[in-house]
Amino acid sequence: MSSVMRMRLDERRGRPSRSLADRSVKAVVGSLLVTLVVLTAGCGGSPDTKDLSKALLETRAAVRSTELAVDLHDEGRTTKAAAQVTVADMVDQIGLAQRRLVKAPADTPELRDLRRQCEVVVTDALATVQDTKEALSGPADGPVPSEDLSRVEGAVDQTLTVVTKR
Amino acid sequence: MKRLFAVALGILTAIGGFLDIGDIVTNAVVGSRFGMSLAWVVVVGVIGICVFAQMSGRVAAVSGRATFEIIRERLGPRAASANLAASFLINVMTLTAEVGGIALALQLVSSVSYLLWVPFAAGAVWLVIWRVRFSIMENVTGLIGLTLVGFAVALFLLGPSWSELAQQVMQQGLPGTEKATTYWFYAVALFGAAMTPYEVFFFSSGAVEEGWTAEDLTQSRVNVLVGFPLGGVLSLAIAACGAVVLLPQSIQVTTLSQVMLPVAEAGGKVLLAVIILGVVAATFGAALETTLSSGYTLAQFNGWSWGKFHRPTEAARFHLTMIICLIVGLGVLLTGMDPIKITELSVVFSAIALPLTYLPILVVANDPEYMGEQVNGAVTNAAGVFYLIVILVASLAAVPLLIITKAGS
Amino acid sequence: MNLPHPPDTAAVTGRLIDARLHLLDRQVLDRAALPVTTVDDISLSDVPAGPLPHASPSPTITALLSGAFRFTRIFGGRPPMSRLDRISWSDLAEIGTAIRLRAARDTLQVGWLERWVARHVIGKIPGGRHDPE
Repeated sequence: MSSVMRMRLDERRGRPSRSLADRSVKAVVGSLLVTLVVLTAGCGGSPDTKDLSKALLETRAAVRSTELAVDLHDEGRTTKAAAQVTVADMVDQIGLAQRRLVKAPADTPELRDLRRQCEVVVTDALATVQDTKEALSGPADGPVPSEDLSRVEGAVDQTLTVVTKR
Repeated sequence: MKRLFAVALGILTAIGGFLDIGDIVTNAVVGSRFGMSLAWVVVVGVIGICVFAQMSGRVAAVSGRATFEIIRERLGPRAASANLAASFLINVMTLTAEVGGIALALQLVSSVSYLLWVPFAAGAVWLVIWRVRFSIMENVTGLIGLTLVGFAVALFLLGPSWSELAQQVMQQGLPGTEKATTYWFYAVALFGAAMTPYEVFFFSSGAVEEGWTAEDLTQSRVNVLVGFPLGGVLSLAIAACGAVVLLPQSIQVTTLSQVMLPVAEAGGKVLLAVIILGVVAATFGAALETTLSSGYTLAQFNGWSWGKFHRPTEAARFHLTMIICLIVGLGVLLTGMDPIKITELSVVFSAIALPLTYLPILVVANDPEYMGEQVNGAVTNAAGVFYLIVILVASLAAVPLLIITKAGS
Repeated sequence: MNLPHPPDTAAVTGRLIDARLHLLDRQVLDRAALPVTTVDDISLSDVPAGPLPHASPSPTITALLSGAFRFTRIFGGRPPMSRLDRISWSDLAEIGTAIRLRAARDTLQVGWLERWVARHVIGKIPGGRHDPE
């Protein structure tokens, strides 16, 4: 054979049964790419007190979870390990709420004042939950005090009412 | 008698193997935020996965070709490559979430940080794939995962108001501060969690690996049609536990430890231990399946030899792929990224990628060249087309919802 | 879309195959039904430029080609012949939903990457050469 010529199978003249599949696959992959671009680009902030109330709600949920974990531990219904992990997770959650507060937009002096109030309450909650974490990691297996947790929960509730009323 | 045992084993394994970290987390989050008002999504999703798991198993058994071989053969190179890239990446994302789930569950037992468990979990997953036989792997993780029925036990022990739960299922309104867009975002997420794409890859590859006969196909049909709905009931139980204990306190689930609170409240340390064992088994089983699926997708697409029934040197690139995927998952987890966040993203991205997997299967299930006389009947096609529309709607809605709700926050 | 007219079936003996449909992207299996590779292109014998003169012998397929085709098929162009693996047409045993060869996988040039990974990576991990338990 003197020369070998190859005739390239022409991809562009695709099979008819492929076109619907082709198109929907392209649509789906296209939307995936759009998501990736937008997620990495990030979106704008939220108005007014939304971030503040969100941070407070997250803090309150974390405090309540801690209370629940402590109650279950004291009643002997959960293991020390599980309670420790729960409370440690809640410390992280309040930390995230704190970060949300710091990033919250506060253009007017009134908003800044409100944000400061929230920060005080959340920092207090963080300290209390951290104390609970310390108490749980001690060698003793006895009940853990939870009055501070109730107090802090009340404070968060109060601040939340102020923020949402505005 | 032996036959009955085999059938029971199949069903039990299907129930235990149905739940993975995506189901557990998404259902718990949904229950704590929306009560039972998204229960209908679980029903729709379970029926959907039954239809497609069945179809993909039948396509594989009759044609002897697995999913990604079919995708390569039936789609043009651009579409097929794009399909592969998207499915493969989402598979690796899910794999990462599952390995993270194993580590989180082990942390709950030991209170040793989950980051220290991650390498152990990834290594254990690899070792089991490397040396343990397929059937043993499936049966052990499936049966131990069955202990997740403890969530249903917990629900009963909590003594909820059943009429109130039923009311939540039917209600049209939204609880408290939740918005409609967030509701629909979680509907898509829950749908993606129920109809995991890797299940299809795994099912069809298993059918080809094990050389399914007509009898095997019937057995699989029973496993799927009985096992998956019962697995779905467990999903609903997880949501209900959250709805009964956490929703009234406005505690939104953000960690695996919070998912355990209702369990401990209901049944104390014993039930807690049982469920944690179940979570470890279920996520471990899912990690095995997603890792194998990563290998299957790439190997089948490229025409490499694949399968656990080969010795590793006879399916070298298949095994190398899985090792690399586990290392990548391990690396991502060690950066400290929250495994729960990874899980939530993976279920939404699964929903986005669903059409890529299901459309080719539906097309081939109707192709007499592959299926001979066993092409889809009218009923199966009707169900298949209906679900394809649902899947396309969910997939296209997922991106805008993800952006608008900022991933459900 | 205009497909070429199929040849007059009275003049054709044997089975009629559409190369795009039945050969392209199909799985190639060896004698023992082990996967070898996929078909990315085919090689034809002498095809002169311009229209074929009447009653000239038709071109025949000399080989199936496989290799680094991923990007060229998506974006255009083709890799040089030296980068492609050939499976001689005479090695084919059967064409069905997959293509069966007469030879065993280890004797074929086309399986070199798999053999390399098996020997130098997977084979070096303990337990790599054992049968699965």
